[in-house]
Amino acid sequence: MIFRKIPLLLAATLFSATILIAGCGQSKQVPTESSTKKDSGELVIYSGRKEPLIKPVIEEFEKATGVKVTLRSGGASELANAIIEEGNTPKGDVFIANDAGTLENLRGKGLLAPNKSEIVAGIPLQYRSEDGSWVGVSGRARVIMYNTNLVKESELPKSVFELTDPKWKKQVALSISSNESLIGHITAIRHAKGEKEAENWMKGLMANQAQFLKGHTEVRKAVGSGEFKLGVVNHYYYHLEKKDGSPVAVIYPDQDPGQMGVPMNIAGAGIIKGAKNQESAAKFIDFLLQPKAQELFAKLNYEMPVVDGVPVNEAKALKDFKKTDVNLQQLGQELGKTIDLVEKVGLP
Amino acid sequence: MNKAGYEPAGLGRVRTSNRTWPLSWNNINIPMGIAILSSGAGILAFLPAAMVIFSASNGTYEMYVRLIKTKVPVLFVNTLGLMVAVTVVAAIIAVFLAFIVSRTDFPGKRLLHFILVIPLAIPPYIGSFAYISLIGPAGAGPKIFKSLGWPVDYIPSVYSFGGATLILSLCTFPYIYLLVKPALSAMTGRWEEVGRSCGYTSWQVFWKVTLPLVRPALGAGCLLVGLYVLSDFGAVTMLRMQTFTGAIYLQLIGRYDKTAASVLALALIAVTFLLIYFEQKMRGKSKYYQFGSSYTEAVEVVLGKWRYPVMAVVITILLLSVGIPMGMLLYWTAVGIGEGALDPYFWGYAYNSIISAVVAATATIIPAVAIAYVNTRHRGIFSSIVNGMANSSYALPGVVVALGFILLTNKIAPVFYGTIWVLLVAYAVRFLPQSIQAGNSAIEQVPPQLEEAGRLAGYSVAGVFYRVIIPLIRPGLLAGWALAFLGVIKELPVTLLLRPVGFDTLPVRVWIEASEGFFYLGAPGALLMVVLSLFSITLITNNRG
Repeated sequence: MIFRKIPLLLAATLFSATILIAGCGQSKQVPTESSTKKDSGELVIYSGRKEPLIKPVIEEFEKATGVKVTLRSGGASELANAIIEEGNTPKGDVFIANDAGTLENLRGKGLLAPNKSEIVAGIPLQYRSEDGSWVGVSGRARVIMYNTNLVKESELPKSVFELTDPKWKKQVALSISSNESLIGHITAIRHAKGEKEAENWMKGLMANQAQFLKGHTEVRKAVGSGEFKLGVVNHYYYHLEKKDGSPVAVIYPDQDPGQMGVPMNIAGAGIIKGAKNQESAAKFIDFLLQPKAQELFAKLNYEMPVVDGVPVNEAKALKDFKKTDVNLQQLGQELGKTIDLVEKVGLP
Repeated sequence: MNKAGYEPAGLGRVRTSNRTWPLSWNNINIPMGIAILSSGAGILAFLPAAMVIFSASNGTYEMYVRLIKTKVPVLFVNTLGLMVAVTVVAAIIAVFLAFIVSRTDFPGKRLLHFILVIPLAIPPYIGSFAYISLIGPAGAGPKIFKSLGWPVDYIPSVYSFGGATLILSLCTFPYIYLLVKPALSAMTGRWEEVGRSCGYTSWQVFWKVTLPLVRPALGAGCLLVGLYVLSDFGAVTMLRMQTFTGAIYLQLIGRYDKTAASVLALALIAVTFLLIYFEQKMRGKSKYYQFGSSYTEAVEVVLGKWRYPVMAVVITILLLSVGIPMGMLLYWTAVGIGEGALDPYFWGYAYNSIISAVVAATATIIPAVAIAYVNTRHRGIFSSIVNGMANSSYALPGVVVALGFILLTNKIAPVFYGTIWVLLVAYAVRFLPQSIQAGNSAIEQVPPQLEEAGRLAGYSVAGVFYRVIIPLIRPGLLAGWALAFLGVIKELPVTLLLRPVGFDTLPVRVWIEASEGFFYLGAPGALLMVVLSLFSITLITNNRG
């Protein structure tokens, strides 16, 4: 009976598919080989940061400890979704995100493990969760960058709230509101100024026909090429655009007394609850806070070291400007409310 | 086939009218494996759409009010506006070219007909990529203008309604052209002669006789283009247009809100069905008959003094739809090779794309053939149910299919979330309808007598399927496989939403690099996709009938 062969055929197809897929799944997992001095375990890192910005740090870590790291890179939100869906059977050990809100959101769902490391405890409370579940490894400030060919210094805005002025109609670029940094920015405004003010700010931007682009790289390039006069970005995007030779400069807004200061965010990391390699994971988090790793963050991406005494690279140091007084842990706890407000306004 | 199978169906029904259904069920002589395979695929294809509608019904009243007050009006205006504008522009281009090729003495019209297939290999998001890299603010155009000291303001904006309309039309007009051109060629010249003898000028004949006669083909082509615009995700998001597909994506990725995404998806499904309904209504009762003996070749229109203006227009269209996109891809690829863009990462993306397309196309064609076999050889309740379910993803935008699968895995098997399996199944479901059509037309060409001969020779029904049907429809299978392969290679929204973390394919990279302005990194992948598409189009056309 030939029809009995159908299951066989199916099985054969599925089997060959599995082999192929296993092969292609691995092709993108980029295992970073290192000199195998001592074999002391493995570590799976889910990273929401761009690969070139984290790989050098991982390579240093492998060299120093002999732990073999598997890196899975992707969007921070995508990875957070994956960790939520994986739930009690996590496939990763460490989660690196470029936003405190995403980390705190996971901690709130009980998906990150508390960390009692002394090195983590040494980081100011402002930049980590109370129980050490996640810790900021580098700071980023929300700034306004501008095209120096198009804007005179005398007419520069001194506050993000001036961006709703009709004088900047069609001249301001921001990222789309699926971006974690913009959401964090709005949470900070809600806290410092209240719901109404935050809502008016968003409505004002939309009325002013500000453009919401797919990502910050698109924003910085649009400002650099003169398509827009002003762009609201994380500070290192300004430095990256400057490095590309564009005529751009930066404003740290809302610095006057009575103003809200610059909203801060961090790129941070946490240990995933139930992770198989807890020990290596803890080791890795500590490693991120060593001066050597901190210097790499500053060097590779102009970020602000959270550990005292590590020099910045061109950017302002954390202590040199006025920051919005928001505990970053609140960013995550307030994520839902901010998204509700953003949805209510209908921000693109 | 058992004895009952040879009885006229009508008799059986009269005799046992109260038992028609179970009887016809018993009479079904479908091999078990094929029955399971086809019904399994049917259910799997039907569930995502059902999940989206079910999930949308879970939305609260407040959510509906909020979405209808804020997002939906803007999305409606943008999406419908773009759809109408693109369809009209594409139709004008397509009818013009079809007329030139089939009715005039335009020199080199055979070559022109051949070239006009190429835009099919350039999906709109690659066209958008090319135009952004040319006249986008970070593109080559503004740089050249600046170095020459010309004002950059004279460059038209690619991020505009007009820009999106033009790019989408230039990439989609072949869908209409490929339907209208054969209709024009096959049409008898008699009607036009009648028009002329009534004193119409050539122009009047075109409007009052020729155009109404190709209306069915034109309508079908316009429907394809309209459906395409509704479902497009890559091009509209790259060109910063706010349409339904982009808004659904935003709800999913940025908001973790599957219900709101489902509500928007439901609205998009409604628009899609309205369009299909509208097209069928327009086609309506009009029927055109032509008797074989009455065919005469249409009179060739002599272009005369119009020859050069027409040539200028044709060349402009070719330049805009093929020349510029291909030129830009080649240019940036050359730059990219110089900058070392062909690194292991690039080959990794290409590998991911090709392997997943090969596996998914194979996984599509197997159930597609089973369903096509049931469709053509075992027509009945079972076949209509299975076929209906398997085709439910037809005309559904990729974003909606992906949303359906997210909801489905979340509900029944969260373990599979973010694995390659969900992605492959979603690909298969998305491209199942096309492959079934290819299978249908292939099996229909096999005379049933051959199967009867096989049965007489002692083979079982399944045996006949494997030994007679499959070998005979191999070219058709290959065409169906190539169709699915082509679909997966170019697929963007399903991949973006369902891929395992870090599993980037060529379309994903092109989409990202275009917005971030790293054109030299995106171009080699785009070019490779165009080449692979041309390759599969050749496979399809060579193996079809």
